[in-house]
Amino acid sequence: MTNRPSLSQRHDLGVLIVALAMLAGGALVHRYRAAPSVVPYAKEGLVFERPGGWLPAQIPAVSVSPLVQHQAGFGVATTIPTRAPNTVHTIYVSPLDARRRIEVRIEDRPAYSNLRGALAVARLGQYGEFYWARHSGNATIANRDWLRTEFRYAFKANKGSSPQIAEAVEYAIVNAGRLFVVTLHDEPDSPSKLEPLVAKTLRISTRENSSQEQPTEEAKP
Amino acid sequence: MLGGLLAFVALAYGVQHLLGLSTPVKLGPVSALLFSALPAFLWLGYFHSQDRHEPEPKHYVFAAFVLGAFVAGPVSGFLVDLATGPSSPGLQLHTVTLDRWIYALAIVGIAQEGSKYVAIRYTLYLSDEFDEPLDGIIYMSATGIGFASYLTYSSLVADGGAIYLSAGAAQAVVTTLAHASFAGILGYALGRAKFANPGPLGRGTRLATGLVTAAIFSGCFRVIMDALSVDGLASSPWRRVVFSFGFAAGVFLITSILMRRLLAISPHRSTDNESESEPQNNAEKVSSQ
Repeated sequence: MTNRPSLSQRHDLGVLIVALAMLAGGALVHRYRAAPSVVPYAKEGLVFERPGGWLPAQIPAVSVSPLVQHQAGFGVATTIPTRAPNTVHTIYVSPLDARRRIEVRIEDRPAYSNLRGALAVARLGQYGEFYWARHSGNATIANRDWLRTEFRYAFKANKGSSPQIAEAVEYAIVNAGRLFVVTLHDEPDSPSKLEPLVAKTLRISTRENSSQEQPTEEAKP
Repeated sequence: MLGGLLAFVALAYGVQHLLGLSTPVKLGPVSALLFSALPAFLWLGYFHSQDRHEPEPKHYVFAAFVLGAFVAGPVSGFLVDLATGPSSPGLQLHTVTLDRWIYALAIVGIAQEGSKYVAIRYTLYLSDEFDEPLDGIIYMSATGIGFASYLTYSSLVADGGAIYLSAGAAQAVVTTLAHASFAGILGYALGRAKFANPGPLGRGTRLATGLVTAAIFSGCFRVIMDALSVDGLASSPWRRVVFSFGFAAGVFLITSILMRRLLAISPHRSTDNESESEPQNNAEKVSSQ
């Protein structure tokens, strides 16, 4: 009487286990080694990590163009007609793709309580009529609820080029009378690479605590 | 078959020069499909013709091709995406780093060859037509060819179908040869494992060795393709074609040697000899009558 081989032996499941183990091991090592270098951002209590090796922080030019244009070779120009004196507006741009940007805006909270509406108006002012929101909802990060909004807008890579569609995800929160907005712009029609990296590191602290922090990166106009 | 492959590249080269195409050309979905399928079917014909003693049914070989294109290809892409996760939004330069080797060997190589292995091991490997060791190479090569067609088509569509016609045609031929050869090495292990009867442990060891060997070749090919696709800041498609062809030809040589070894021990070889001598015997009988 011969012993019947087990199911795993008959189907050589050991080979699959070896292959999957190698794949998993390779994935772990690769992810560890290929993890992008990050640098911290900290201003007025807003803290997050952003990719290192990007172009220096820039303050976008004020523009009233309804169709967003890349200006000064770095990215989108804001269309806020006038900027309040205590407003922080900074953009970080990837050196490889000008469409991949992190935009930070810190300003006094809107005068009226409808934050969602205030943000929509601000986006409309910035991106003009060629803007539309896709999805909006709350995202809890480190026990704080952020208003997360996906939206699309039209932009021109250059002044004479034809308009293209860009995508962005906006995280907004009001804290101690200040509005904090972090917008992650990425390539259109592709899974966002910035959001998985940056969004989970978003932190906000009270203004009293944050007043002791030193801004790590001061944007120069 | 080989003449057809050369003619395919020569035709692309001729069209490019006749039309004065100095910039990449955009191919539509149908032309991209033809561009990836034509070298595939020529290589398929070549590998099938090597099965001299008892050629496998064409529809079985075509099924292996389909499994490679529509199962192994998408599955390996999914596995690679799953393993790597969201890629770094920072700088990504084409340098041969340790990380690139790990990515190519342990992720891409294992995912690609593992997908081809699964596609055949749990389907045609179990069929009655898989009745000699050489069938491992024949079916796995067909799977590799289907897989390469999927890769070529995907890259053409992902790049918007923009290629230099001649270099693109040559690259399609070389990529198909390379993946057929990598899969052929794994097929050798499959054939030996099924018919050498080494016991479950020995069979598993042979299969795992074949899989890892094929993955190493596949990973090295990937590194060559990535590292040589650019020369400084300039794209250099012909440099990539030349080096990848050299590598693929080396692996193809190994696969051919393995194929000859299996042909020599084919159980159908004696049947062929008998059938070859049968007409002679019959003729002798007739003449004696």
